[in-house]
Parts: sequence; C-alpha cells; structure tokens
Amino acid sequence: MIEINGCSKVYRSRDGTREVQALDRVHLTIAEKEFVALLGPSGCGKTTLLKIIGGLLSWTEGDVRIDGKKVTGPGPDRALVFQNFALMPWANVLTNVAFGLELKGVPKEARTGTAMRLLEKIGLAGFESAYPRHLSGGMQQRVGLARALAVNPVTLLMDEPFGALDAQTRRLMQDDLLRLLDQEPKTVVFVTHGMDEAVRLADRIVLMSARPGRVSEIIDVPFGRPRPAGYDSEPVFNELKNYLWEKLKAMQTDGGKVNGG
Amino acid sequence: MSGQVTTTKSPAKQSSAAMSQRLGARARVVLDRWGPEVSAIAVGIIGWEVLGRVLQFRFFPPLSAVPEAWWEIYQTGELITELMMSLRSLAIGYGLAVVAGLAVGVLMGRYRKVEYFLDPFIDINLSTPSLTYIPVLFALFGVGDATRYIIVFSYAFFIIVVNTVAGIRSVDHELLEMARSFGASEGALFRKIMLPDALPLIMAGLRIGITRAVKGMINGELFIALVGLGARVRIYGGQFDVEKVLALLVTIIVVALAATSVVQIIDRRLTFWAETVQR
Repeated sequence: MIEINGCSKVYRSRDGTREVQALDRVHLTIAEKEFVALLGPSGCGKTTLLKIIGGLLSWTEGDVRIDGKKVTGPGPDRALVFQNFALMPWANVLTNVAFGLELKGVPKEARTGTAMRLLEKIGLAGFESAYPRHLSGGMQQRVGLARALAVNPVTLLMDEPFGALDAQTRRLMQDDLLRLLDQEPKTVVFVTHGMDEAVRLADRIVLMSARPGRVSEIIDVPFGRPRPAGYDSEPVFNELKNYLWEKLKAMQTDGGKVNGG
Repeated sequence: MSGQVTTTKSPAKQSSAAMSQRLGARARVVLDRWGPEVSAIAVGIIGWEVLGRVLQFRFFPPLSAVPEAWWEIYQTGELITELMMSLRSLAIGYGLAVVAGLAVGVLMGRYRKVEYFLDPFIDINLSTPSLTYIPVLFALFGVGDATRYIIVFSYAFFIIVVNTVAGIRSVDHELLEMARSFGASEGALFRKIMLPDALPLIMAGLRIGITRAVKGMINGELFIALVGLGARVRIYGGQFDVEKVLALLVTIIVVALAATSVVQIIDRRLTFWAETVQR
C-alpha cells in the first residue's frame, strides 16, 4: 500500500530567489494490485508525484510511505517505465532488459534467463541481440517494460509510457499491458494526459489540477479488470471521457494547458 | 551483411551472366566508395611529377626522385633508427596524454569546482601555440628525451581534456535517472552510464589528439632535438638536400596516417552504436 499524506513539493532555484510549488498537500492512498492513473494538464505535478513515489525526488512537506515505511530512495519493490524509453544505445536488447538485475548483482546466467523469458512474454523473442536504434518506438518501450518487470517489482511506476507512440501502437501496448497484469497482478501508478488511456486502463483516475499541483478529484472507473468485451462502446465509457474532458478544459481556461507532460 | 545476396538457388545453378552482373554491382559499390579518394591521390602524384619535371627547379624535384633518396637513407639504417626514436616519443607522450587527459577530464566533468579551478589553464593552453613553450622546456629539461615526450604530451593533452569534459557533461540525464531508479551506486552510475555515454566524444578527443601528437613529435624534433625524423629533416634541410627532406616527409605522412588509423579503428569498434545516418 502506498500512502501519500499531505505531500507538498517546492522547487527552489539555485540562488533561492525563486520558488515553484509543484505539489500542494496531496493526499492519496493506493491499494496493492490497484491501477491508478494520474491525469492532468502539464504542470500539475503528476510526474513529480510519480518520481517522489519512486524515491528519485524528495518532498518538502508531508509524508510518503510504502507498506508503512517512509520512502527514502529507490528500492527493488518499485520499477519505473520512462516516457522516452531511457534505453542504453550502446547495449543490445538483452543487456538493456537485464540491466536492473545487473545492478542488483544477479549473476550473468540467471539474469540472461530471466531477460529471455520476459522477451518471449512481451513479444520480442529473437530480438535479444538487436540494438535500440534498430527498433520501432513500440518495440523500444516493450524493452523498457521488460526491464522494469525483470526485477519483479511490487509496483510499476509508469511515466507517460505510451505518450511518444503513434495511436495504433499505443492501443496495442495498452492491451498488452493489461494482459500482462492479468497474468501477474501488480500495483501500477500510471501518469498520462490521455483521457481515453486513463479510462481504458485504470481502476481509479486521480484528476490533478495545475499551479500548484493538487488532487482535484478521484474517480472510480466503472469497469472491472479484465475489461468486459465491448466495454468501450458502452455509453458510460464515453460519458466518463467527456466528463474528464470538461474538467480538463475548465482547468485550461484557468491558465493550464491540456497537452504535454 | 556483404556477400550473401541470394540463397534461393544453389550457386552452381546460377547463370554466369547473373554472376557477372552481381560482380559488376559489387564493383560499382567499391568504385563509389573509393573512386574519389583514389583519383584525388592520383591527381596529387601525377601533378607533383609533372610540375617537378616542367619547373626544373632545384628545390622542387619530381616525385620519382624521392624513392631513390628514401632508399639511400633506408640502407644506411638511419631511417629506421630515427623512426624508432620518433615513434617512441609519440607512444610515450601520447600515452601519458591519454591517461592524464581522461583523468583530468573526468574530474572536471564531474566536479564543478575542479572545472572552475582548471578551466583557465585548459583554455589558455588550448589556444596558445605549444611551440612557444619549447624554449622554456629546453631550458628546463635540455635536449633530452623528456623534452620530446613533454612536447608530444602538450600537443595532445588539452584537446583530450576538453572533449572528455564535454562528453561527461552531455551525459543523458534520463539514463542517469533510469539507473538510479534501479538502485545504481555512484560507482555504477559512472562505469555503466557516464563512461559509455561519453565515449563517442571522448574518442573524438583521442582522434584529434593523435594527429596533434604526431605534429608535436615532429615539431619538437625540428626545433630542438638531435634525434628523430624531425631532426633529420632539419639536418638535410640545412644541406639543401631536398630529395631526402621529401623522403622523410613521405615517411612522416605514413606514420601520421598509420597512427590515426589505429585510433580510428579502436573508435569504430567502441562506438559503432553511435554511428550517424549514412550520407
């Protein structure tokens, strides 16, 4: 369980003269195996919140705990998936997927075995010796996802992972992600600016507003996982999307922007 | 990927016409790649020979006079002796410049304070012609080997530092964050992300460094040393023996090309992944 209690984050410029409040007293509790989407305009602090949970950023006020223990840095219980994939261009697919295990000191044979199994699972069997630059965006993000899964984390932290992909690839990746989670349930915190994406994937949608970043509303998605057949042609699906769109539009007229990270 | 064009038919069944057509295609590829380079060299050689014969000028002999002079200094054994002396100062001077340049560059790239402290020295030395130090070095170390090594070193060191700093500076922040998120220690960050990501720029520094080192080797010998190819150039130059000077020049060109190719080959092996799009 992830507990975020009154978490605020203020960025200070180096000389201390300027301050930007990225997060303002955010409260959020995420249950185990729950899929939570953080949705909001750019500047709403959703990526900041994700990185705080990941232990990559500190916060200035409040409390962030995982299973009752205060977050003090990255840990093997969490793994990140990055918007721009963050693959090492000098290393082949296999080495990239096994990188988290390599850092943990897992011996080469064991980590190669794990990586190969994941590549198979994620549809990249046969590509283990290819280099990232030879892969399409979708395949690169599959590598990024496999790398995160390889360390077998409790929680997947995904920072607009499909934002850089074209629409068709994005849909395929969304379906694959849900399929993988059915086989092996995990807690997922998923940053996105796509309303459609949030409704397709999440159990709950945390709608955030910008400047300063606040939780403006938490919405339960009325579909279970795995999603029932034809759920996206039901009226509720579009109603929810339209509702989110109205909310985001209202924020935009308040000075925020809907697109971007 | 070269070599295998089709595997659908066994080679024996392929008509000889198709074979020769394929050979023709290969030849065209080779010609496209090497044609301009070979013709440039040919133009240079023919131009030299023709000019030398037409001008009949004492200080510009035709190219065909050079091999004879080269053979003369080769047979006396002096060419090899001096070549070895030169190569030794190149290896020692450049080797030290690589080791020290990488170390200083990495420190400057990682620690701002070190960078601010050393920056003036690097900037000054990068823009000052290193030859101006020769009198000082001469006074300090005499005409011995140390002076020659230091000159080679000073020609290559600063450019290696500057490129290494730039490489470390430009390391992809997302990759660092990624490694940190998987629990990388500071040491692992450096070895597994910073160094490999900085490698293309570092290798560019080593490539420019080797060409400068060759210049430093010859310049040092020309101006003060009593040994090495450069010293021989000075001696024969003083005697107006232009053929021998040119024979030495050709030798120096070969040394320079060989040294740069060695570094280039290492570079291609290490940074093949950073290859830019082909023209």
